[in-house]
Amino acid sequence: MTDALAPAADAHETGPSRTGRSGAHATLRHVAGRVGGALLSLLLVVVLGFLLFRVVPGDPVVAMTRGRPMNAELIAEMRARFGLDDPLPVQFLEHLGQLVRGDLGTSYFYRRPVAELIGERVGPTLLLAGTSTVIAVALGLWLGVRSAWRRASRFDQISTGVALTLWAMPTFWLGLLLLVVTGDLFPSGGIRSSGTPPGLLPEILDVAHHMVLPCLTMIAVVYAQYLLVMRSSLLEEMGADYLITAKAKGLRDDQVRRRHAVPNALLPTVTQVFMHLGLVVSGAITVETVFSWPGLGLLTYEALSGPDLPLLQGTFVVLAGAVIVMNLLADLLLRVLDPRVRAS
Amino acid sequence: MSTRRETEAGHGHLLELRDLGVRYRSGRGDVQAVRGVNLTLDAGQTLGLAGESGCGKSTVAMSVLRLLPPTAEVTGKVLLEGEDVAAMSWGRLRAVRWARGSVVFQGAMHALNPVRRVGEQIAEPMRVHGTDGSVADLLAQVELPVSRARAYPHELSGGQKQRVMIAMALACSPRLVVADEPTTALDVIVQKQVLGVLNQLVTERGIGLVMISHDLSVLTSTCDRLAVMYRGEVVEEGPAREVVASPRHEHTRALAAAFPTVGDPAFRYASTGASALTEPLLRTEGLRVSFRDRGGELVRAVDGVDLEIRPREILALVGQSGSGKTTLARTLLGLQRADSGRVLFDGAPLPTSSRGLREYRRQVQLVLQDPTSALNPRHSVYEAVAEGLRIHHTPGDEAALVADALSRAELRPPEEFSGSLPHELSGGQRQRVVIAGALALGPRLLVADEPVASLDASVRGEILALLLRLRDELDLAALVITHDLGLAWNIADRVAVMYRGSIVEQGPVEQVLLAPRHEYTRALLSAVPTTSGGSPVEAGA
Repeated sequence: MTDALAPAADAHETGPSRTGRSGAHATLRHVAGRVGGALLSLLLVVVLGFLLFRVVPGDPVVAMTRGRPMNAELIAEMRARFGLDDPLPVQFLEHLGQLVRGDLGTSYFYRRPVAELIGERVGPTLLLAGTSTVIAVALGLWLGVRSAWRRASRFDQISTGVALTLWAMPTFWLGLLLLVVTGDLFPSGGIRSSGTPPGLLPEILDVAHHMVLPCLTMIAVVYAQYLLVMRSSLLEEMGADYLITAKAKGLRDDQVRRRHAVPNALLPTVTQVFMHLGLVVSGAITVETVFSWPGLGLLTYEALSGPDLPLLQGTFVVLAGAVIVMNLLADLLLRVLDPRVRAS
Repeated sequence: MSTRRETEAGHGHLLELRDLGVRYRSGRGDVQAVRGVNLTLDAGQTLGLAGESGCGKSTVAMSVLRLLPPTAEVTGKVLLEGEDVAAMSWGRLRAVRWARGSVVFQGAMHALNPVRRVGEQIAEPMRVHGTDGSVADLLAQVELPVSRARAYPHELSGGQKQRVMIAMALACSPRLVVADEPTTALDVIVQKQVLGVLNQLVTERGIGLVMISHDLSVLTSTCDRLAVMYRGEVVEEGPAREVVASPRHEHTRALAAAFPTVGDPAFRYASTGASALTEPLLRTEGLRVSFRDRGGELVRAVDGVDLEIRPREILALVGQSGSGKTTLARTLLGLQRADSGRVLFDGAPLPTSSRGLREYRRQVQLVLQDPTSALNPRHSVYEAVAEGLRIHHTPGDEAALVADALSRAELRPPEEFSGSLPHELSGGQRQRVVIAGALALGPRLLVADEPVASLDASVRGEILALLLRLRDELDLAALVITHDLGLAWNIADRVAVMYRGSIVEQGPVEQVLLAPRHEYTRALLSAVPTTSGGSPVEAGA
């Protein structure tokens, strides 16, 4: 059926200049389409975030005033102040208008703008999640390549088995286990200790010291995904005929792997890695909670226990936005890397 | 040329296989793929290796550069310019690969790296071996414009990819080229061009060429000598024309018989045709289909086609790939909307509602080219056949209907096959399953897209005979889409020749194929390689 898609005239006549020009057009159209799609998803996230947190059980005013003497009038007044007594559509429009202005509302608990809170907490999360992801991706891909190239070897069996075991472990349990096992070697929580001497180097070392355990936990839990994806996509490439061609050309085994097999196997892996990247931020919730790491994850956890509706909505939008942006990046990147995607 | 003389004098043959045997070890027992093969080839010569799939011919090709998988156990000797390939160190072997002998692999689509520009891929062996040469020169040798070097494999047509493979094989000026089914997926006109390029290389550069194919007519038109393999052994060897003209082994005879000579009455299986008086079952009037290609330009795939298929008639739609045959077929099946014109089935226009289309598609069934990809590898034969029945809510006992369809497709006894999975069946059996799936719905018209192109020579005849028998027993009509004029000669009542979206000529088989009026039909006919050497038009006239 592919015949039907080929133009009737021989492709001889189509010069490179024509394909180049139309290719640029197609690229522009494609990018515009993807960005539009991402914006639409983002809007859906906002709607969903709004509705979701309006149906969660628990009255925020009651939660906020727990333990304090209150009467019905005071409660009604607070509800009015937070806009909770308006009809839902009105609340939503208000919410949307604020979002456009970059205003995520004010936290019930902290009594501070949500955007400001999130801004404070993004840094530590990016540091933790970024470092662990880079290490996990590098480790996973490297082990994946080695496992696939020596499929069913002792190395393959052990590395795949270990990765799967770690992946199957509950994050909080692994975190607690590491805390117990390492004893006093590493701090048990937080990002800084109070007694650090001033100066850049001691501070960096202090943060790094605090980061070891949460980082290890995150890496251990996620690297298996990268390993398995890389392993299976390389295994698939290894059956491909063009590798025999490369071998027949006189390339060494490692050249065949480095120049042909791995780059091609990386293509599906790239998409997967970026998909996971979006989720890494939300995946940090458990780790940050266990190690009291002052990041977005911990903030989300705090907001949930309220429920602190504006804060929860804010973190929800940020976390979901991260996933959408990463998917968009994966889409665009794959187009750059794989000429076949550009063609379709 | 002087180096060639020296090697001949110094080492004897360019390539010599001495009592070559290859055994594949596997968990389910060993398979002896090749045994006792003795062959020689000198520079400037062409040796054809013929045989069906699984006869071991590709294994022989791979053993020349020691490219067999680790599970293969090789006995005997492969001497490349007198040097034993098996005894070479890895370093020596890598130096010999591509520089002294190269391979044009089967299926250029898969043998090229899909994400690297073809120019880079052609240049790669030159870089690895440190030889001089330019990609532009190599492309010129295979008659491709230099600009194509920047293309990716998927941007090239089948014929162009095959030429890229040949250019790549020549990159390090090897003395031996092994071409494994170099033209199998190509239509006759492109096939003729590619074979022309290969022949030119042999005469101009004095390389030795081993050409592997299942198609005897391709081999006889290009090779000096021919070896026929059967079950891992060479059963016959000699000058190509002699082997084909007076085959001694019965397998050679079977192979030769499978490739019909257009115009030879012995290859004309069709007997009873449709009566010209009956109303056409399917008719198209001024059908036009166009779509935009990637650059946004309008492509007229089908351009004003008038066709008629009568009950009990087999119409062959022939033409090159890209001529619009498949688009036409898709439009007839209601899978593609026509821009203008009509498709009439039984006198009524094609339904547009999804319910109407479903009923229509029950009566018009499709048989695809490659049964291996047309069948879901995880569905049993029973599931594959019953699926259509379930979709169409066919009344009656499902098991009985499936069994009936299977036995009509000559998978007898049906119980023996219904539990099998596709990979447990042979290629011919798989195509029978596809046909059974179509038959189960009681269609009145079969649309078959290259129904025997992926099948072995010996199976081909059986499937064609089945199609003819089904026509007689069930009063089926069939539209057979093919680039194979021999197939049209075998079974069709009428032929329609398609060129750039239009039907340039149609009529009874004898009239169109033996006395073609249109220039394009003549070009197609003259491109068909024949075992006798002459063009079929002369042979028939």
